[in-house]
Amino acid sequence: MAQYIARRLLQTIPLLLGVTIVVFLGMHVIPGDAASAMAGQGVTAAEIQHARHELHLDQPLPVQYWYFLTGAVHFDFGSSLRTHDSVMTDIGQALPTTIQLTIAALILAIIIGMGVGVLAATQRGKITDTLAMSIVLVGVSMPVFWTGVLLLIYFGATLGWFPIGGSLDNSINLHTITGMTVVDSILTGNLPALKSALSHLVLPAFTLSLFPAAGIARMTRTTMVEALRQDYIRTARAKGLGRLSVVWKHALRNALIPVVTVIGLQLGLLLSGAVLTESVFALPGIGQLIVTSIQARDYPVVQGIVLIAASLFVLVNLLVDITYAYLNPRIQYNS
Amino acid sequence: MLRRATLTLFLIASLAVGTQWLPSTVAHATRPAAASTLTVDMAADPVGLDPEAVEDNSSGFVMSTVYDELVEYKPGTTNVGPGLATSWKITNGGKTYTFNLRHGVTFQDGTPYNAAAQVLVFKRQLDPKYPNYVMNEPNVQSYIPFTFGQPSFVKSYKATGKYTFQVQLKQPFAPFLASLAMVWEAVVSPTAVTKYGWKGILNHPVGTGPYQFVSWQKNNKVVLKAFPHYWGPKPRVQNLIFQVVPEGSTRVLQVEQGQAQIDADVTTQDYQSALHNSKVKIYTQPGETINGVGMTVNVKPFNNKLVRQALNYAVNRSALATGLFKGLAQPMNSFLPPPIWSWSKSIKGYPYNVAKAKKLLKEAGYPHGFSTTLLAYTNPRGYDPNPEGLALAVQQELKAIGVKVTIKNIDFTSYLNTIRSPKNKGMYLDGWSGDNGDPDDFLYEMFASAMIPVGNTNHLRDAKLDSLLNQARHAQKQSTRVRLYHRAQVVLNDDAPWIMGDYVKQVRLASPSVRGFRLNPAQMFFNMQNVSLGS
Repeated sequence: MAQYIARRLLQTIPLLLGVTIVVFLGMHVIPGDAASAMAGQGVTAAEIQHARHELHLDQPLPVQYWYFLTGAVHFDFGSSLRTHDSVMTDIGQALPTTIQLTIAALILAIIIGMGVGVLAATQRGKITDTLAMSIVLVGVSMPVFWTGVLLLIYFGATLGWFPIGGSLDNSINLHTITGMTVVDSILTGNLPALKSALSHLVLPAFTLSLFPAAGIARMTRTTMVEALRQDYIRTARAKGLGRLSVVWKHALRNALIPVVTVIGLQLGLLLSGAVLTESVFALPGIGQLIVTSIQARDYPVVQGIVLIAASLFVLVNLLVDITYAYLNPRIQYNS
Repeated sequence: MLRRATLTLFLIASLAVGTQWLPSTVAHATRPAAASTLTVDMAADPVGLDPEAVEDNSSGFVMSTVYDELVEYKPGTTNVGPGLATSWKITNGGKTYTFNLRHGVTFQDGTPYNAAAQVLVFKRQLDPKYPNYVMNEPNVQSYIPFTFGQPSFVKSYKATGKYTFQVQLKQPFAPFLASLAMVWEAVVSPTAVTKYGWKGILNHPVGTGPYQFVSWQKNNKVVLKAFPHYWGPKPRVQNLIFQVVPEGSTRVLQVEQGQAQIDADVTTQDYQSALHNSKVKIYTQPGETINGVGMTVNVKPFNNKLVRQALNYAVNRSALATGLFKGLAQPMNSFLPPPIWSWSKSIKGYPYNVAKAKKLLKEAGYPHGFSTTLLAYTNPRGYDPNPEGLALAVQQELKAIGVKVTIKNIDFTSYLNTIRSPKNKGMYLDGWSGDNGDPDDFLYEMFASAMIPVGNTNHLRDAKLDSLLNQARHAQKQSTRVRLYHRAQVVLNDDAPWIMGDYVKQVRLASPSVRGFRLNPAQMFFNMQNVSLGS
């Protein structure tokens, strides 16, 4: 197993290298660069050229890529072309918000998705099944920026149950340790901050969870229906095991492998969905940062974020593969 | 039965978790904002808080509360009045400016403001040998060339007394004073510049203004508090927060619910829904803005003046104002907008006349019209909140005279890169937002041949226009300048380098509890010390 993990980790290096090349080339294919993105007025062609030279943007692409790569190896992505802050600082400030949102959304997606999927599977063919899968269809079809605004209007403005966007009440002073408001509130024992952090997290996390929940629900239903048909389930029932035990302990555990795969893949969707969710709910995460940076042609920031997101994605999928072995001891990774 | 029990348990658990938070969140949502905190929502994070190193609106919003300028615009106008200078004399044929500086002013770090400090403020912008010279670093976006010329027309500057500051120019430059009133020429504490370095000022602004910097959580909010030693009227609100909220509807909801008090970036849709919303108050003001469709005059068929004029007659600007901009605009009759002195209602624009348009096209040799591409962008701008709509409207209008327009939509940065290139060709959306309230900022920047290709994206070369504009920027008497700019507007209208569009008004939304808030043509948050929160 350890060998397998080591091999997988080594394989990530060429993969991430490929990612950096694709992003680098992609950014340079789009017309305009950071120098010409200077939307200021009264700027002359000479000034734009001067800026271009200072930022090495007039160098050949391979040279620019080399500057980037040598820095990246030391986790130094240089400075933001827009704000002049260090890229790692910018990303470091924004990333915790997105991680917190993504984890909360993933937890909700798993609870909702698996709950609905199991319910639909055990009620297969009945009206509950149809209702559950219809709700799933709606969840998959509604775009995040529409659902988010609707929820804000109804639960935020009309009912007043939740705040309108933001990550924390402005009146609350929270000491930053991890940058995740919920975690920091717990670590500093700040109860008002915890309440505020959670109430700000509910709507965006729920909005973001709907699409992945739908995917998880469908896969859970399919694999559960298959599992519930198996002979060993009939045996378990014949032995007199309670319904709860049959469904959750026996059937679900065996149905979980494809579901866990889907959960791992949802992370990619969650990261991209976070862009729109953060925009609607005014959360200062990497979603917002990457949009601003792309518009400003802020290459170092964009490359840094994509590299980190790709690394996270690879890591999560490695964890997913390791989880298989736990779920099904018959799966072995020894070569 | 067990299944039902499980489901019921699940629902009860969710409700229990959910309702636990309700009392506190309901209380929060309906509790009015503390009277001593005013929150302003804006669409984007500032780039930085150093006035000499940035040019974006969000940075300007924040900086206009932290800093003062040597001279300042009188509230709600672009007319220049006292700022950190209480009075001044312009002598020596318009080449010598002598400023009498205000006594008893301190920067927020305790440094006294005087002529010596003012000299360092200029040095930072003009002296490449000064260690804190702001242009030392790459990609500094600055109005320094705009204000002082490139190369600089400033001959010298010095303190002629403890509170007298004198600037000598190589030649008279009339817009100079108006430029010094911009937020981009704000006065930064020289002590702070030395202490933090120019990069540090981007994140630690220190000025003489009514609000001082407390903290900045990037992409989230900038927190400011009232400066207790401000030289002017004491700020009525203790805490000022500029919050980043990218989505327009979220900003409006926040103002409605009391989570914010001012929405600084209002979209046309938000404006329309606000018209029927008693929970928000609408503020409008004619903007220093123009919009339209530019044409490069060096390619066929746009090299023919008759074609350009024909296209102008074919567009119904009044319909655009009501239909497209929802009443928040008025038709353009000149390349200067109404708030700029020397604009005149009497200048003849292009009335809507399809027959005349067709006649002119025929005269120009295009009786059956022609085909062309129109480059449009997708991001709303202050001078054009609905760029895609404008492109579509123009496309439809021109169809009636046989001109087939294909729209090409790209993002703003790509668009800017394209139109500023020497190879720019054809039709493209265009617009301008003035910065210093001076006609030179519009007419010279965009239509003088010296500004080809970055400012003058039309590549217009009109010697008569150039002569008028050059005379006007060096003239000393206001009345002379008014006369020259009047003639320049007539010449430019005849040249018709754009299909003229509309003057779009500036819009802000605020909670009804906000008092003393006033818009200004520069779009900045000047004079926030006068704003208070009622019940």
